[in-house]
Amino acid sequence: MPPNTQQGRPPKQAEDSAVQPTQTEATRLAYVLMVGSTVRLLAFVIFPSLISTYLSGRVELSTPVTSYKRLVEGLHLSAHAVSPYDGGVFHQSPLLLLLFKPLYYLPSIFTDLLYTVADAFVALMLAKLAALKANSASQVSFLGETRFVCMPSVVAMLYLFNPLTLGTTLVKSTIVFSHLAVVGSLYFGLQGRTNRAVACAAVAAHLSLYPAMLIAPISLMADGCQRRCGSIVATVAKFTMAVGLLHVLFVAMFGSEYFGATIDFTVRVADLQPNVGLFWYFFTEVFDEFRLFYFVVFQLTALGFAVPVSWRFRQDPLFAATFLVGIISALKSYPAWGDLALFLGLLPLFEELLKYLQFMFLSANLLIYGIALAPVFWYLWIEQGSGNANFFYAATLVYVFGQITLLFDLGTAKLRRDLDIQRPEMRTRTVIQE
Amino acid sequence: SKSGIGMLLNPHRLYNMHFHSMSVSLDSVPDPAGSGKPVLRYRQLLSVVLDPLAFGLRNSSWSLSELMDRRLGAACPVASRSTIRVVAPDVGLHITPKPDSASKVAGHLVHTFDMQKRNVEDIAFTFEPDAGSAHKSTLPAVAAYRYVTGHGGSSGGVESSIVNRHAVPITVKYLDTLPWYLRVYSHTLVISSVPEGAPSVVLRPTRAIFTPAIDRGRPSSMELELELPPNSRTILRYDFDKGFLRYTEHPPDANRGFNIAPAVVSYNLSTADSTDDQPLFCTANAALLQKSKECTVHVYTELFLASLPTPDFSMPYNVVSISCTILALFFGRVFNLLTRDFVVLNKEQAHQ
Repeated sequence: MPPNTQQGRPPKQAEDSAVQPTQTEATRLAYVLMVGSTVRLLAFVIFPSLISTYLSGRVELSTPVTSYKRLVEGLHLSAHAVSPYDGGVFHQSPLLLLLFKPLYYLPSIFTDLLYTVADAFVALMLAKLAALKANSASQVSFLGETRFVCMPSVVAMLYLFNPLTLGTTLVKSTIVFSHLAVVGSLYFGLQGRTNRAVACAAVAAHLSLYPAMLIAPISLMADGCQRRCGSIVATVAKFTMAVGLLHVLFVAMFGSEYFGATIDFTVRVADLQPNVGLFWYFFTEVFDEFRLFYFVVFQLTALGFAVPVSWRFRQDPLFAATFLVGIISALKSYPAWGDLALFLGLLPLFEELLKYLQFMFLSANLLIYGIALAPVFWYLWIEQGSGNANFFYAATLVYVFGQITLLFDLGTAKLRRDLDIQRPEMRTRTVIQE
Repeated sequence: SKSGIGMLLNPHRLYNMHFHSMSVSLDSVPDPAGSGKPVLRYRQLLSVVLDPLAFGLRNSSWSLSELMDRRLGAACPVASRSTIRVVAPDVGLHITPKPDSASKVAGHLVHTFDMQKRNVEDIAFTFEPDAGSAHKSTLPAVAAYRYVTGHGGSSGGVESSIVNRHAVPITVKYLDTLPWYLRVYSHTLVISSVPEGAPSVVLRPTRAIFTPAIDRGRPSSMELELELPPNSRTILRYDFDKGFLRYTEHPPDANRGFNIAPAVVSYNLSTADSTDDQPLFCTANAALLQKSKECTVHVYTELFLASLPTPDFSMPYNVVSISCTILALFFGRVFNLLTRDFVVLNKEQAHQ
């Protein structure tokens, strides 16, 4: 649905009247979406050569599991009756093959349109999440708190005009569709539509493996919604069934080798192309005897925090989901700047935690240094040959450490705020964790 | 002890040459015995260009034993056929002793010595004074060149150009295999043909087989059957990305790079045509095997060096420990966050 029909549809509201007039907010949201889409379409149409020269080859933006060039290669192979999963460079989900098959025969403007619309939808869902959260019953504040309510249009704007998001869309990285599924599942989960949420989560799990962790907060959302939308066990069972159904469908269509080429490939970090994560250099340098041990350790650390985090923040499953999105962004096997863009897009929903963040300057600096230096060091290593891999590795270390600091800070802020709400008399006291 | 061709292979003489090429080929052919089943055929080929002047011999008359510093002996006992074939111009060459048979193939005279029937110890060649200029060499019908394009260590392209020097179209088969760490994008393959004096046209292969590579499994291979227009230069171009190898997979001199095997362009020649550019082995084979009138010529392109970006080889311990430190920082902080409760610092508050 093109964004300019948004004018007739205000964001979803509860029955009680909102603080700000809904019509103005809807208009602002529509403007933001229109401008964001226009910027992207213009960039696609006017600067294709600039994009392909400077952006498309960037390893920080596209990874072996999200690269558009590899997707076209997979489409080309399947159009010529060669299995795209039998070796080769294509390691993306069959869902994307099916989605892009008709677009392969159409002119490229349709692909550009698809990416623009997908991005606009992600921003729209984020805005609706913000509106939902602002009006939900779990929104409490304590006396004397000055709150700057983050308006839906601001959330959408912060996501759409984030340079990381823009870069990810312009290189046509397929992580955009995973983001769409993730945000869709959170939105439906918060609304109480568990079945749709589970379907979106299953799609996201097939597109990139790690959003499978989000079933934990989604099942908590289902459990906690007023109408008892579904128990935790039932939600997890539905999710497992949906994932299994998709798996059976893909095996029937593409053969069982699709699993080894996509999900198994992500888990065992088979392609050592550098990216902005920790894994690539680690698995380049580690000796072969320890490879299995270390990839089990890394994947467990990335995936094992789903249940503990969801349990700790069970009163606010949306926050648990944001935290997990942050963990995914820092620790997935092929991260890119696009994953950070989703995390940064979900952060404005929790602007009440802004004043509790202690290490804002540190994490912002670490992230900016990591993002700014990575392309420079890549150029020195690969193009010019005067640097070496350690430069780029150092930049990625800084970037991941910045994300971890932000995550940790966010969690502490949330716990502190919960304590302040629970025991308002402690607000001015120093507390420590024990 | 040696017999057969082995007696002639003297490395001191062979490596003092202008050109040499060794090849081993294994292919599947229909059974020459006629059973109808395919059999494997293993061929070893050694091509050497020697100059008698380099060994102090006169150009006009020399003998094989003077050239190779070895005498011939008996034929190899396990060989089913052992022959020496001399491809010579029609007139102007005297061969001593007299060859067993001579046949005319495509404008050349092929003299055959059957080593199994008689024992020849030495063959002497004497050229008549004005015979040297009789044979002119012509360039072969098809030539192929390949080079790597692009800059930087992360991606590149391969460009092959195949030249057809004949005035008739020739059907060639182009085979290109690249190792798995050069990831080929088959959708970027563009073939265009530039006939002489005409603008370039896009050429479509009549048949194309592309087998993608499996990481650490098999190389990628691209086989195309192309119909080359007469007097044209056909250019094939495709992109690849350079892969990143593990620490132990790099060779000892990692910055040298990897030699990438040449592409092969093959075409069939009919030996009945008396063209000047027929390769010597086609002519020699045609004299022997009367039934096959076709000869497959393989043209090899140049190989190139692909230098892959290297990690820092001095740092396995450092990388492992630093990455694990970051992971431990994450784990420790988040674990603390999840499992610890807040306690007020003020001791008086706790007493109340």
